This record gives sequence, C-alpha cells and structure tokens, in this order.
Amino acid sequence: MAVNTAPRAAFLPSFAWFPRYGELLRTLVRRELRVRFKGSALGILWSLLYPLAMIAVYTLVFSVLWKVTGNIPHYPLFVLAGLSVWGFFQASLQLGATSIVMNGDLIKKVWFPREIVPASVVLAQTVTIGVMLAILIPVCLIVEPANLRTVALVIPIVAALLCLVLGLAWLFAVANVFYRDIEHLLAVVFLPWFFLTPVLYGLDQFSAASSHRWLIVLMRYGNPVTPYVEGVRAVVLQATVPGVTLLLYIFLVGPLVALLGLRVVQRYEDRLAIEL
Amino acid sequence: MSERAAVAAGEIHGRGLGRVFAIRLAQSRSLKEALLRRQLPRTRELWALRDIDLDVSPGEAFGIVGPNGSGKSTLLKLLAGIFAPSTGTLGVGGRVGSLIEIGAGFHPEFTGVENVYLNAAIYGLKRDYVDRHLDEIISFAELEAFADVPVRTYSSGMYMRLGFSVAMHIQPDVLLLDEVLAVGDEAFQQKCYSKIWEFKESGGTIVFVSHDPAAVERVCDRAILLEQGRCIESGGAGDVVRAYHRRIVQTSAESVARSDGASSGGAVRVHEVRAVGGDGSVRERFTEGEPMALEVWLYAEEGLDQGRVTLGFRDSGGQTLGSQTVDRVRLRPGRLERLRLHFPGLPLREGRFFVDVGLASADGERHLDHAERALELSVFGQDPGGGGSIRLGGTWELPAVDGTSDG
Repeated sequence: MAVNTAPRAAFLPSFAWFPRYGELLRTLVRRELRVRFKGSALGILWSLLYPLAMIAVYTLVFSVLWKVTGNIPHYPLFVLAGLSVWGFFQASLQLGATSIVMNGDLIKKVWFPREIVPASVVLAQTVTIGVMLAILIPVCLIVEPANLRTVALVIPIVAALLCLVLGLAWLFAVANVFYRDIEHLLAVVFLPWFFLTPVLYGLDQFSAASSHRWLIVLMRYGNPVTPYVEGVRAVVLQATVPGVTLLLYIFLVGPLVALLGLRVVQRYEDRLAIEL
Repeated sequence: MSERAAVAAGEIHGRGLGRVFAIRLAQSRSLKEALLRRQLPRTRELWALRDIDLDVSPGEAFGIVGPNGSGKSTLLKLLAGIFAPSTGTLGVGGRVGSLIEIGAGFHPEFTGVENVYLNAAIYGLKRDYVDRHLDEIISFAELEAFADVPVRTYSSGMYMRLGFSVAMHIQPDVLLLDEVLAVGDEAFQQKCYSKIWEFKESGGTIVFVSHDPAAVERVCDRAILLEQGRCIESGGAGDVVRAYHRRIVQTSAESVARSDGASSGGAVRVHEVRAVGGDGSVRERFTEGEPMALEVWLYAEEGLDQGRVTLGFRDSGGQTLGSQTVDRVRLRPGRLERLRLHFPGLPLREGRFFVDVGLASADGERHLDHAERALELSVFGQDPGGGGSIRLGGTWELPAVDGTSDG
C-alpha cells in the first residue's frame, strides 16, 4: 500500500495505481450507485422523473404557449438530448466537488490514490446519462431514421465528455478542500450556467446570431459544456456530424482537462490529508 | 527532496526523515474571504519531525514512545504513506496494514461487511479474497450480530475490533499500530496481543506507538523515544522505556518545583492519578454507580520492595469519606508503574469529590509521598430520592402486595 505513494508529482499524471486499486474504484462506484439510486432499477427510474417532468414543462411553456421553438423540430427530444449532457455534468460536479471532503475520514487515515474518490462519484453518474440516451436514441431513430448514420459518434463524444467532467470534478474537489465555500459557490453558479448553456434553445436559432457573431462564439467555446451539448444533439437528433472546430474542441478539451485535474490531485495529494 | 527507496518486503529504512507542516494562522477556509482580503492565509512552518533514522527488519517489533505532540503519529503517517517526508529517504517494503486511528478506512454509512470490502480494496485486495475470509474476519472481531449494521452505530470498541481484524487478515508485511488497542476490553486486548505475537513470529514487521510504555515494552524489541520531533533515545525497548519514564518524572518534578517552590521530586513519588471509565476513557465526570477505576502512576528511582498505597475519597467540604489500602506494592527501579483500584460501581452520589493518594513503606512508618486532592471528580446523580454523599447501592425487597394471594 505505501510503497509507491510519495512523490507522484511528475509532469504527467501517473496511472500506475490502476491495476492495484481497480477493485477499490469498483467498490466505491458500487457504493455510490447504491446511495444515489438505492441500488435498484426503480431508483434509476426515479432519477429520470425530474428531467422528464422538466421536459414536459419546458415544452409546454416554450413550444405550446410561447411558440418560440417553431424552427426546432422535435423540441422535447431536443431538450432531452441537452438535458442528458447537462444533468450528468451538473450532478457529477456538484457531488464530485464535495467528495474528497465528505470522505475525509478515509483520506486522513489511509493512503490510496485520492483521484479514485471523485472518479467514483462521476462514474456512478454515467448511469443517468446512459439511461437517458438509451431512451432518447431509439426514439430519435424512429422519428428520424437518418440519425442511424451518425448515432455511433455519440460514444466517443460522451467519452470525451466524461473526461471533461472527471477533470473538472478533480479540480473542484481539491479546491473545495482548501476553500470549503467552493461547493456553495458552485451551487449558486449552476443556475445561470444552465441558462447560458444551449439546452432549451439552440445557439444558431436566434435572429441575433448573425449580428452578434462574437457573442455566439463566446457562448459556444467559452462554456466548456456547450460543445458537448451541441455534439451529442447533432449526432443523435440532427443526423449531422459537428464541424471540425467543434470536433477538435470536444476531443481536445475533455482529455486535456482530465490530465490537468489528475495532475492537480496528485500534486496536492500530500496536502489533502493535512488540510482535511 | 525526499524520495521513496525500494526495499524488500517487511523492511523499513528511513534516513534523515523530516516533515514540516505549514500551519495556517487564520482558520478561514473560505474562498470569498481570501478574495476579499486579496491574500492567501498566512502560514507558519512547523517541523513535526527532524532527522529521524530508522531501520526495521522483518520479524521485528519496533516501538515509538514519546509525549503528546512529539511526532509519533506523524512518523507513523509517514510510514503509512499518508504524507511524504519533507526531507530524507524512506522505504517501506510490502503491504502495509495500519490501525492508525479508530475507524481508519471505514465509511460510517457502510455496514460492517461493506466496510470490510472497502477496507480490503483500499489495501489493494481482490473481492474474492475477502469473500473467502469474510466469516473469519467478522468472527475474530466478534461482530457477527452487527455485521449488517452501519458502522456509525458501533461503539469505539467495536470499531477497533473490526479495524484490527481487517488489518490482521489482509496479510500485511508491515503492521502499523497506534494507541487504538487501548480501546478494546481486556479480553479482546489479550486476543489482539496474541495475534500480534503470532504475526511477529511468522516474520511480520510491527511498528507500535503507544502512550502506555508497558505495552511497548511487552510487544517491542527495539524502540525510539521522540521529543519535539527529534529522536533522543534509541535502543532496546526496555532501555528506551526507562529513559522515557525518567524524563517524564524529571519534567513533572521540575514543573512541580516551579509551581510550589517546594520540591516533591523525591526518589519515590506519586506521579499521576487518573480516573478511568468502564470504556477505558480517562475523564473526570462520572455517573453514580458507573463502573470505573482509579489509576495511580508511581515512580521509584531505586525501586521499592514493599510499599503501602492508600487511596481515599473526600467530599468538597474536605471531609474524608473513606479510604482503602493495599500492601506489598512492588515497584521496579526507574520506571513508571501503574496500579488500579477498580469499582464495579462508583460508590459516590451527586457532587464534587477529591481523591487523595498516599505512598508509605510497608509498615506504614515511613511516609514516602502523598498527593492530596490529586484528582477532582464530578459525579452526576441518577437516583433523586436518595441523600448523602455515599451511594449505598443496596437492592430493595418489598412486601408482597399481590391482590390474589392476600384473598
């Protein structure tokens, strides 16, 4: 256990622990699944209830009453695609940010690779996005069989999203050990963040899109989750392959943020046990 | 910079180990405040350990003694890899099992069984290994009835039993033991010590930290004495423990001399008096009738062959309530020795009480040392109907008022 612990702060993060601590990661993911979903299929269904209810409300307000979604086909599916990404993103980060502090007792007293704790929370959350996509994709294929040509791309895009979320969860989890109000700040930031992310609308849908090009670019690339929302939606619902810039962004930013996050956890690992 | 050297399983090699901590002077942990003040919290450096060398071979038991804050736990945490040394090199070979604090590696919301799996996974063991040994682990910990209960409901003794059992069953090469053993009841402690002995006999390496030097002497072959992060004595466990006792007695004699002006630092002394609850905790507050013990620590530079110890209670008014004497107390030279007076139920009622200790020669002629009001106890009542200072503790037998029998 203690042999290969000490200075792991090389330039590139280390993955040497994985074979030995895979079991621990599995144990913690299993626990997390049980805590979040009460370990049952019904528990997972319950976790779907909220997004489905929200989709109904958004559709009612924006599509039926306000009628601002005229140029978006299959609006409920459009929202579901966005929510699957956003819901996973938000829940993972919120739970991930507190994960190291919450598991302080473990971390203070025994050594194991600290990155496992936030990772287990995030990996458990993949169940939600998995289930939502499992509902969304067949429906999309039925209403628009052309999606069959692009839908396989959802796998690498979600994998890159997982990298992004893991990386951010690692960063926030470490930061929250040093500044305990980060989890509260996050909770406050997530609501405006949600509205700035094109879940309920599409960025290109606005009439202002042509006159405020830079604003659209900023909203698209300044918000790390936006390209993933657009990417998933494009390949699942719109039967299109995202543009090169978007693809580059998706497949570069996610893994880079993950490496950065991992590096930060390993760099500060020594101080975590002291600060907790 | 520090590095972790590669060593054979069960071996520990440390050279020039030091560890510095940055202590935050302000307790604030809020980003908001840090941003508002536009400065990071000020910190101060504190060296918890300096220039420690240690070499332990397989099959050896190594003790670490020293007063609170001397760096014992820091050293143990370095060995466990929880943090890295700031200076020096350290190599710990093989799997390291640790019982560093009670409940180390446990998750309060998990059941006992789940925690066994979690703990084993932390040590890098596979699930099927635990599957095979689960019953053994639970039964050694004597927790069969509580295996499926979240451990947050466990008592500290149960925590310790589970932790010990897991640590012993993960096939460690090196076992790190902190004070934890003191928590268990006497019977389980015996079981632990024989298990530890077995482990040592089979070639396992033990590093043992304790407040209780007698335990270190019993378990360990060699030891070091730490003071303010430095090693001030190392060698055979018995010698180190004697050096530790001498130091404790010296420093306390100095502080007594400073505070009283009069030296009581004789060759035979009452060092400390403590009250210990039935759960092993040292405290000053008790409930009437609670099981407890008075613990007296005695020190005789030259040893004492036949001593007489008197322990007595007096009330807050100074009135003696009762005392009890024991003869033929033998003290080995140059070490702190403990004796205990056990009460199945504390015989005092609500109030404040003082404990007096007297130490005399066998015939009672020569007064060697005494400590008046060495300890103050607060006792909380349970029986509002009674009176006085002494708990009588009798049981009532009432006249039969059963309606049918009287006709």
